[in-house]
Amino acid sequence: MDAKSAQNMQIMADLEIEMMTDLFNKLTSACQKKCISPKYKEGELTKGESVCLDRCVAKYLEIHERIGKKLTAMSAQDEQLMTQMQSR
Amino acid sequence: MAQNQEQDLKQIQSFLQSYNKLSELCFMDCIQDFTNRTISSNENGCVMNCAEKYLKMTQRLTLRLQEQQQVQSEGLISAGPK
Repeated sequence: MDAKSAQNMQIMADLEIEMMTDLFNKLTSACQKKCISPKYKEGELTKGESVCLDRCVAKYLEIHERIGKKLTAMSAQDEQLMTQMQSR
Repeated sequence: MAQNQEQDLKQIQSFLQSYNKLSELCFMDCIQDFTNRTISSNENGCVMNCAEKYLKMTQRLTLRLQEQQQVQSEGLISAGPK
């Protein structure tokens, strides 16, 4: 039992790392597309690009959170419906 | 031991992935002219700036993501023992 729960913890931790990596990769490519102009006149981020990136991260994470909540709400509703159908 | 090795492999894998992605991105954004097989100095400059900018962008994004997570976990801690 103990070994099994430890194994589960490990799987959860691995999953979380994988999730975060995936989130970061998606965020990077999204914010790059939205904020970085494809004329590379200089190697530095311009002021506008920097501000855009900061807002992009904040917005992306907030959307991520909202979608998560929406998904939980939807699946809870789904489950409720299913139990209702079954009890009939 | 095996765990460490696996982690190292993952790190190498993600490095190679971002290397390939960066090449693709900068190639697509900077190289338009296929009338000549040499890389022009303009193209070279564009690619170098592209790589530099991408790295700086990644650093900034990492930092902001970390900050956000810190805020979130602090919120959880302060919300916890109510």
